[in-house]
Amino acid sequence: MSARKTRVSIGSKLLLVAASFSLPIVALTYFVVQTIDTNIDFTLRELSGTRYQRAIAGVLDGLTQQQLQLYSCGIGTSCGPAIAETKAAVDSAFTQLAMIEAELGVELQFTDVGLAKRKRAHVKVSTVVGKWKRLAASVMLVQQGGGGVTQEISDQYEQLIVDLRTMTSHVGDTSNLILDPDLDSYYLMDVTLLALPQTQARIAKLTRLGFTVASGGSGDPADRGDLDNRMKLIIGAALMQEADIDRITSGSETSINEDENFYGASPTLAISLRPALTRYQKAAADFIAQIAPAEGKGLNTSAIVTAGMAARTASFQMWNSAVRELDDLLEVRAASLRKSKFTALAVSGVALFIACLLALLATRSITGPLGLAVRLLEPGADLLAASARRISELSHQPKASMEETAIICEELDAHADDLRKVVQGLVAHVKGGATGKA
Amino acid sequence: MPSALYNKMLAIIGHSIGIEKAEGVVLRQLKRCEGATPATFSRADLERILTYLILATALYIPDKSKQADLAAMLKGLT
Repeated sequence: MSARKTRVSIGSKLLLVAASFSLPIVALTYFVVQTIDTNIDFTLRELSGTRYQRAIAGVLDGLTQQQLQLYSCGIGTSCGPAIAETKAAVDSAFTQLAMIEAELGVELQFTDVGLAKRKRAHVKVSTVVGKWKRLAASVMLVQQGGGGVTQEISDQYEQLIVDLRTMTSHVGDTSNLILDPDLDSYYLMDVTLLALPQTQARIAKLTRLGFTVASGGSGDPADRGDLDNRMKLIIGAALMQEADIDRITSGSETSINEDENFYGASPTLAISLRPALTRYQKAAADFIAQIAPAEGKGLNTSAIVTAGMAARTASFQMWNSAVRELDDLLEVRAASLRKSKFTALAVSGVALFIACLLALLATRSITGPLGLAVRLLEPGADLLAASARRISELSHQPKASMEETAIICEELDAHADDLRKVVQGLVAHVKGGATGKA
Repeated sequence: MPSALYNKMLAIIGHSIGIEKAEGVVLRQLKRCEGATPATFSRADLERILTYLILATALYIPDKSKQADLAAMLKGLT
């Protein structure tokens, strides 16, 4: 039993050839769409990062506010109710942080493994909450005892602020914020993720130092400890100007200038950012003037604390404006990428459809004439065989019919004519040119 | 417009060998009938070319019994 060979038709072969050329289009479309999807996911993760960062900033805001309130308590201001109010605010902020942690913790690697990998296990949310609760209890005890802020309490505030900044750094690393690819959003990210949290921590630290120097000290110009602290204040003031104010100003202005080069200009960026920046610059400059006064002017605890609080408030207002604008820039980028993906798919789909249509038309233009030839050949062979048989029969007849012979020749000639026309059509298809009617 | 007899004859032959071949065969044999056209085709014309039609169509029908059937149907038209 011989095996039956299944032959693939010419039309199917031609379509297979066309399909094989379509494969690179399909493959390339897949990779293009995959790249766009990766960029969309990258941007969406940045947005998750700003959400988490907002929760951390809420805690930092309340914490630094309470810390400075305690210093104002130290200068005779009644602040028990204010302290209680900020405690409630910080508790609420930590609740928000815990909710965000539950939603985004795994994505942003605030897991035991994710934190340990980066040696940040000490900033797990539950650990930081524990530190806050101990600090809040210590503050309550001191308040109830009528005392002011102690060294130990100040250290606890500073440690918590360091932990919150470490959490912010972790968010920046795991959410891709630190790798933002567009200049406008990159500089805004630098302001919100790095520069403003840095200045907020510095304001708190310098207020503490200024308060200590202004309210404490031996009064003896030769006291080495006193001199060291004053030097620290002067250096701190210089750092605040160069590493904070100048950096935030430069970053904000660059973001505004570069905005139109990336997905079009935002209608709110400059309008929202510049006033907030101006307020921060003024408040920070006032604070610097208090902690590093001009020659001849002394340090004043009340003025330092007041200026510190104003600078702190202005920095958080700046932060809120900047992070809102950053979110808008990221949303615009994500929308633009989604549109690009749709366009890529649509254009590739249309191109593929046109290619398939052309392949189909080309296949039909080849198989059509071939089919016509096939339809003529088989019956033609039968006609030839019948004609040959009849002529053979006639040749053996004594009285052969000339008319029948003529009829046979006419039919053979007509068939040859039809075949000739089909062959001419095929030749024209092979060589190109007018085919005429078969 | 071909006559009714012409159309009937064409239909009978076309049923056996295909309408395209039938048209070619009939037109070629019609030339043997001087002055005859599809429009004027009559029984007399059919009688004149009947033999030629049968001989020509037989070349396209290998089965002799089917050849005989076609011949009978064409004769039935006369």
